[in-house]
Amino acid sequence: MPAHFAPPHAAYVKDKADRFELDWDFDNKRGR
Amino acid sequence: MPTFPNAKYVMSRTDHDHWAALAKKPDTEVYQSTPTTIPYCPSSRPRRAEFVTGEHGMCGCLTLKPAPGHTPGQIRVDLDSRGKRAIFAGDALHNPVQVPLWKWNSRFCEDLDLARRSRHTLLADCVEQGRRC
Repeated sequence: MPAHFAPPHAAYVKDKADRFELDWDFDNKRGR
Repeated sequence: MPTFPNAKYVMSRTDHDHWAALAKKPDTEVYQSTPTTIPYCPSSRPRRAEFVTGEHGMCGCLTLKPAPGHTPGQIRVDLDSRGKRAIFAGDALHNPVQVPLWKWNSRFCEDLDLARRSRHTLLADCVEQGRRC
């Protein structure tokens, strides 16, 4: 997403029925 | 003067042609013709511009992929580096709220249904391929 709207931390995405959900992984448990 | 005078600008052929044609029409709004007149416009520096269509790999770790809808030639950039994966969504995804509400478009999306489909594909790829966005 454009930098002026983007949060400072990229996120993984999880499937949630017919939607999606952000998985922020703030502690970087899944690695940078 | 281009923003980065030594850079090579890799961009969508579809988008360039679309905006260039629009800029020639007399009733075009200023904001619609701006992409072809700004300093880094490839038209002003043809030797520094590379136009691409479809999927396009570069630098060994980046893949440009079509994500049309917001603009006809909108592209996203997939990164694959050292086992890590991400997608730079560009204007296919404007705001985090469009992740759960992926059918929501920005006011400026040119093709509303196509923008939704591209956004869904992008998010589904994030899920299936373990990519960050």
